[in-house]
Amino acid sequence: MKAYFSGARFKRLLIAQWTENWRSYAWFFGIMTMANLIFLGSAFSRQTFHYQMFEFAEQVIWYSTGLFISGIIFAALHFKHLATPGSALIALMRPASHFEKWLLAFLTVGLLYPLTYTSWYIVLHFPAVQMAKILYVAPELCKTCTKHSLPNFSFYLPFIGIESSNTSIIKPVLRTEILNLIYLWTLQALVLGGTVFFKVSPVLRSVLTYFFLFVSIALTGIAPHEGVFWAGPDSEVIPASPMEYGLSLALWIVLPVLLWLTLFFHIKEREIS
Amino acid sequence: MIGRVLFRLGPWLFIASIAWYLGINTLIERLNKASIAQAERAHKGKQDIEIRGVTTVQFRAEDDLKMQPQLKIIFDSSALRATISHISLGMIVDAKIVNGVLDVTFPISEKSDKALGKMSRYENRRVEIRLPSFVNKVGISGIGDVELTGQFQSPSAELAFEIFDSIPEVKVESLVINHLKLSINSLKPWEEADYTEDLILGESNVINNLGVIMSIGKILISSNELPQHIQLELGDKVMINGPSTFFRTAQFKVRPNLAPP
Repeated sequence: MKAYFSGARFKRLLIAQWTENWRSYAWFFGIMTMANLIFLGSAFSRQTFHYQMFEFAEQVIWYSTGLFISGIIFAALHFKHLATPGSALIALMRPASHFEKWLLAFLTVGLLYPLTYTSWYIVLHFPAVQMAKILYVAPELCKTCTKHSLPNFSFYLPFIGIESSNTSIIKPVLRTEILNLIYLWTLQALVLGGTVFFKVSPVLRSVLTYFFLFVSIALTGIAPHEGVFWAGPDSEVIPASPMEYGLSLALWIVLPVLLWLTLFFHIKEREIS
Repeated sequence: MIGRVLFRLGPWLFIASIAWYLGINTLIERLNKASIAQAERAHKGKQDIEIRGVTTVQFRAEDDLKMQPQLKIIFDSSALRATISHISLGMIVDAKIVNGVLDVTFPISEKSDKALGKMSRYENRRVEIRLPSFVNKVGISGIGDVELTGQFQSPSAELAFEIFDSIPEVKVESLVINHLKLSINSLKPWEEADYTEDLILGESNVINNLGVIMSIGKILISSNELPQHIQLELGDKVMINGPSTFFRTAQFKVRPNLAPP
């Protein structure tokens, strides 16, 4: 069992990972902060204040898009040492079991990254949304207008809750969040798997492989069915049968598990080779 | 390379993941098709309402209804009943006669609220209403678009068509009638008023007298077959786009401007 997992060894692996990579993590978040500040600056531009960018629905899109893009790039960088023969040898010889290396990848990329990104997002965007709320000026309405739909500036608190009393929003958003997390884990496992499996130009080869795979699947005409995770408004028009529930749960829970398991075997087989 | 792939568990697990993804998605697709077919069989898409003696019809949709219906109202001189048909599985149409008025409502329900689906069968918001030509007054509120068409056989037929709030488009097409009185009380937010065509007089209309009352919006005349008499009571913020003959025929009356400048 100790050969498989040792707490002390895993702790040393964590420390080594942090010591070697904290600068690159800082750079990563620094670049993201710069990019976000540019976007925020353009939204608050004096001539055209794009208040729509701070409405609830846009916040969800902003947060999710950022998490997806940065989460995938972050995953592609996790095994960057394996890309060159010299550093790959050092990384593979590191005194840790395959499981520990796999667990480190899952903790860093799959759990800690989304949590850190979420905290970073809240720190950066909460003041921006409050500012948008203050700056927003409702358009002049005609006298006979009985109502005008005001923008929803409720702050989107990902994975924690929603600053809104409207329960009809909360349910679909939570479903979307769960599905997004599953999508993210699936894509991260694919990217990590590719970067471990391909010895030469791992990122390029992974991108090409997944591109052709994506095109081939698209040609079969088989579209992904979110099933029980579908957050669209029609989800209860036709009640899902127990079979449909079971199948969609099986699909979206087993798929990322299978891909992360694939990563485990890729790490193991890369070391043996 | 091939050997490396064949004798290792990682690549095989990857292939198994893809097969799992494709297989389960195919099964869900089949189940979806079966359940949609079942829902379609159970769908009540057509209603006939006996409206003998009823000359006023009103259509109302709730303000918060996400799937605002698009109405096509057809006046049929041979019809004796009102017929309402729609294909959307998510839309509810409730029609009943209240105090001598046919009241057609599109209520919000769990079903209609959640009906904006992925499939076109759900998204189709079109509702066709066939009305007898003895109906002479139609009121509308909270509807997406309206198209008005059909024939009134009586040479003295009159139709008062009143819209109580903002409707993106009212189109009159292939309508044969002696006197059409349109009243559009747009409630659009002021900033949006410039962007849409509110009233379109389309092709093949045979209208002797046309009266239009409108405060804000745009009128587009896309046909050369114009009514013989045109009376327009318009606010300052109404724009008209049409052939010069229309302006020569029309008699204008200024409507007090209800909107701020």
